[in-house]
Amino acid sequence: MLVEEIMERNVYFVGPEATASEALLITQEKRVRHVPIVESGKVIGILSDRDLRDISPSTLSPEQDDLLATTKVKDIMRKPVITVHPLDAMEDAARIIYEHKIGCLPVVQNDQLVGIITSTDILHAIVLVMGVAQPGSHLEIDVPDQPGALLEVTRIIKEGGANIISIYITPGKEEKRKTIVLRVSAFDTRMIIHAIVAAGYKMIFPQPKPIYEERPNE
Amino acid sequence: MNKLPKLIYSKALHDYKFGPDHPFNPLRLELTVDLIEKYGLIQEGQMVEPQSCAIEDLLMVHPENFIKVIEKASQGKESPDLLQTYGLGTDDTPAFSGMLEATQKVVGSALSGAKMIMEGQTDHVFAIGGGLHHAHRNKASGFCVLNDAAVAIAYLQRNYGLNVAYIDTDAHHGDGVQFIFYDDPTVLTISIHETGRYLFPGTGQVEERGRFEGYGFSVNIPLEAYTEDDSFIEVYEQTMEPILEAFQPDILITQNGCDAHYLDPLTHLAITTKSFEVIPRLAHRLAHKYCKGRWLALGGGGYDHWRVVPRAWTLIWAEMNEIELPDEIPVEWLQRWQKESPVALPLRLRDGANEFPPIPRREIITDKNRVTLRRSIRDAVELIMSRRAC
Repeated sequence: MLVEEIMERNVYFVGPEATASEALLITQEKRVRHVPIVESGKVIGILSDRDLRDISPSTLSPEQDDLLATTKVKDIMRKPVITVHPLDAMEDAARIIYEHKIGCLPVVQNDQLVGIITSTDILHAIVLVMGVAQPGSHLEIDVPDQPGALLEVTRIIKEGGANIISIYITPGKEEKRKTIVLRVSAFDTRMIIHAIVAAGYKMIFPQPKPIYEERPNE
Repeated sequence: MNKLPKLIYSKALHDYKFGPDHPFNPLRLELTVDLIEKYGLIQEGQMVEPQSCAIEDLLMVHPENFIKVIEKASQGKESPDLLQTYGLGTDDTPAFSGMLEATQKVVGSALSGAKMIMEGQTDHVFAIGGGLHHAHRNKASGFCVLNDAAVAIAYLQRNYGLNVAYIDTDAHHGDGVQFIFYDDPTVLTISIHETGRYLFPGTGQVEERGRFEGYGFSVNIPLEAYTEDDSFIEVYEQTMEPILEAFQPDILITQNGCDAHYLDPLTHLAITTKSFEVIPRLAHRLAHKYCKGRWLALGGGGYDHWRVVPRAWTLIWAEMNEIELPDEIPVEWLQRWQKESPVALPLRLRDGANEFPPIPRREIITDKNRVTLRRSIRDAVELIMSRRAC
């Protein structure tokens, strides 16, 4: 998934000569947490709602209002700004946000601001990836971290006649193990689970249950 | 007039069958009704032959093109692609010969149960073959071709303008019934089930509360895997009365899937017959308190055919008839079926304590279920009250 697929294209920004109170007003009215500062289409700085609140007067002493109205954003903005490109991968954007402990990334193409991606956008994308779009059952399988494990598990699911709705792989609880997490379009997953166990993998959830012949004389 | 409760059953219901190895097996109905009979719980006139419903009845809920597809599939004449589109091409819910007619009988048993109650023939009906709660308006799903509960509800709305409360204690979320009436404030659906995080179909989260006019009238309590009796009963008992009190229903419909039992092969809840006695007892009391006694009970899931379904559903029928049954399973029933069963049949109607090894994370499971209960019920009661006030 690329940044261009999940970014917000409608960005609220200000010019360098704007005042801090103008920027603060944008965060409040547009319900955004970040305001890029843009000059001739180029991102030259950024301010978060917290930066702006930090310089806001206390509500208990309103006489300092002037300071907000007279401070220009170019004098308090944070720079340089970490940005991403529309063709960057969503997971790279996620890592940058996580490692730099920041809330958003302006998206820049040809040196021009074309969008913005926030931690909320990334969470939403992850929700879709793991999401429950159609009826299915949940399986978690412990496999060795080596080639072929995923192939074999998915082959078993195919032979069980089920479709895979979503899939992701997490690091296992032990070293050199992985956990495959799947949703499959099956109500009765017993046959699939038994085949997975028979193939030598461990079910984390659910545990296999016995299958009885329904009625021997039928 | 004989106002005794009615049990809708005959072997005609066995036609609703997906094949010999499929878990939704009519054997469970046969075993259950035989146990009820061996207990001597059926009086003259109590057992009623299921009536087939008309296509027009189905059209109250399901679109015509969907029914046409089922009709053709029923004769083996539908293309696999179209079957897939309508949820019928899977191993779960495969098309079978005579499918439409067999399903009409299942829907007809729920529908005629509703009619018998409204026409004053009786107050309580157990339509044991019903409870196909996963069927959506235009899609079969999870062993359910058409939705008998929804057709019965639509009939009650159209002909009598009733407020209908639907309580679903199947281990799987009652998604079909919920979403068919998702916009409708005259149908309250409450589903207690194993969380969709693990179990089919995956829906049934607390925040699914309905839509538009119907916002607040869908209630969901998703329980943790390995939930046991005490926690299940606590959640069930604390949910139903306040919500029904707020909603003031005219009739109660219950879906009584018994696949939340610890022996059930398809789910991961861990309750016993203790809960399956509490469920109909409270439903019965609430039907009398709020609905002039009108109570239509449906069957549902339940895939341990030999040990769980017969006992769980016998307990419902006993409750309807206000009979306390002795704990010993009748010897005649055991003799009749033990030779065919692949497992040892239970000798007692009720499970004992300590049936299975202690669940390791009981404390945190119970706590999580309490949090879920609080989230769900607090908002539900307030929403229903505020909507009904305007």
